[in-house]
Amino acid sequence: MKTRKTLASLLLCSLVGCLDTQGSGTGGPIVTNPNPDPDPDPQEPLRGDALPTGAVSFFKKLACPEGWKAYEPAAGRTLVAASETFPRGEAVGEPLASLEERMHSHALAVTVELPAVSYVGAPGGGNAGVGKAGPVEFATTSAPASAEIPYVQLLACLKTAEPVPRATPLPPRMLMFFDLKECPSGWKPAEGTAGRLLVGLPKYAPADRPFGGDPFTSPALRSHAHAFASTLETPSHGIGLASGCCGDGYAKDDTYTFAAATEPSEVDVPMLALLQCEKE
Amino acid sequence: MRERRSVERRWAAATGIAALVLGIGFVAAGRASGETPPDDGAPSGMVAFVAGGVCPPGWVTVYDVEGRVVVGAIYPEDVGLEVGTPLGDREERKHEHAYSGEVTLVAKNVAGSNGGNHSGAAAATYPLAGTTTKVGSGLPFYQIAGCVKP
Repeated sequence: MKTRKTLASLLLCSLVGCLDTQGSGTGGPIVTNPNPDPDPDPQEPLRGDALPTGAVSFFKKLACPEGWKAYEPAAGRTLVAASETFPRGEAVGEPLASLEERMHSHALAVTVELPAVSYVGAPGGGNAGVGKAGPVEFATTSAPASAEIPYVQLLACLKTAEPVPRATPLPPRMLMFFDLKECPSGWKPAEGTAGRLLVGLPKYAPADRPFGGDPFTSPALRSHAHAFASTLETPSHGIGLASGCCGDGYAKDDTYTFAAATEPSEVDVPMLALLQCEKE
Repeated sequence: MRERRSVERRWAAATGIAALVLGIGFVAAGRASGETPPDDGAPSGMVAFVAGGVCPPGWVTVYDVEGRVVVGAIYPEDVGLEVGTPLGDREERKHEHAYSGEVTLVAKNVAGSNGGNHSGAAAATYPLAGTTTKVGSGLPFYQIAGCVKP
């Protein structure tokens, strides 16, 4: 009879799952609190989370969790791991408005030298149809364009409450920003990410790879320039004089191709440098 | 009496086998259907970058972040909004600029009437337009797995 009861309970246990100490029925591990409430309510789930005070994280939520508050310094900015030369707390650029594509433009300037032709005749007189030889300048400002850095806006929150560790620790190798001077206990400074913008791993791409320019070593924005080339094709102006001495200094009719580089311009990706640590 | 014991033994054996089979089945089904992972103490909705390329047990890939930088928001209506198309593997996104302007060829008078010598360029203001080459921004990036705690 005893055997029958035992086996029946084993069957029942298989079907519904054995209740844990909190009666949740999940069969999950027992959650422990290092600072237990002297009068705990066994029915109440453990409140709070295990992240250290001072952690700064993004959330895919509409409101910060309990024990966290909105982190305004990160509004409109991406977070970058600080370094000795790019210290924590340094903010670069003006924050982005929601969905803003930050534009920039470049100054362009180039001088084209037009060679001379001469006519058998005297300079001066009343015919102003031919241009003057020598340098001509092309100067303008490019149309604004975005650097097309794709981004997603996520809620930025700062942990304000004390941590409530669990029996199962936070995952090792997770990176976390901190509004702190030093990494908390159990965390070490992150390696390889300092001064670089973190991009979510594209599908099927190798993880933990730096790319692009050199890491930021100061709060200065990164600038770049473009090459450009153009062609000046002048129509001629006919003069009733033969070519020769000594009316010279008139621009030669021709097609002039020139190439140059734009002035450098900064790509304003607003950033905030913070201490970044890796869970040990 | 002997017959009754035999029936009990058979019943016990059958119950035990059924429990074992059902138990294994339910455990497997539980794992396959995303059985509740151990509580690591991370709050639900937390998005974290994790080294190693694989999200920890109980975390899942956050597809919104793939190929994107994360920009902080503090208002709920701004959360989850995206700008641009995601970067590919170590892609240095390039951009270009259109430009337009003018070149002015100032006149130099000559004492002569218009005629058949077309060696000189006409004095005029010439419009010029074009597009610069495409270049990257020169920004430094690091691609790393983005994970979210469900």
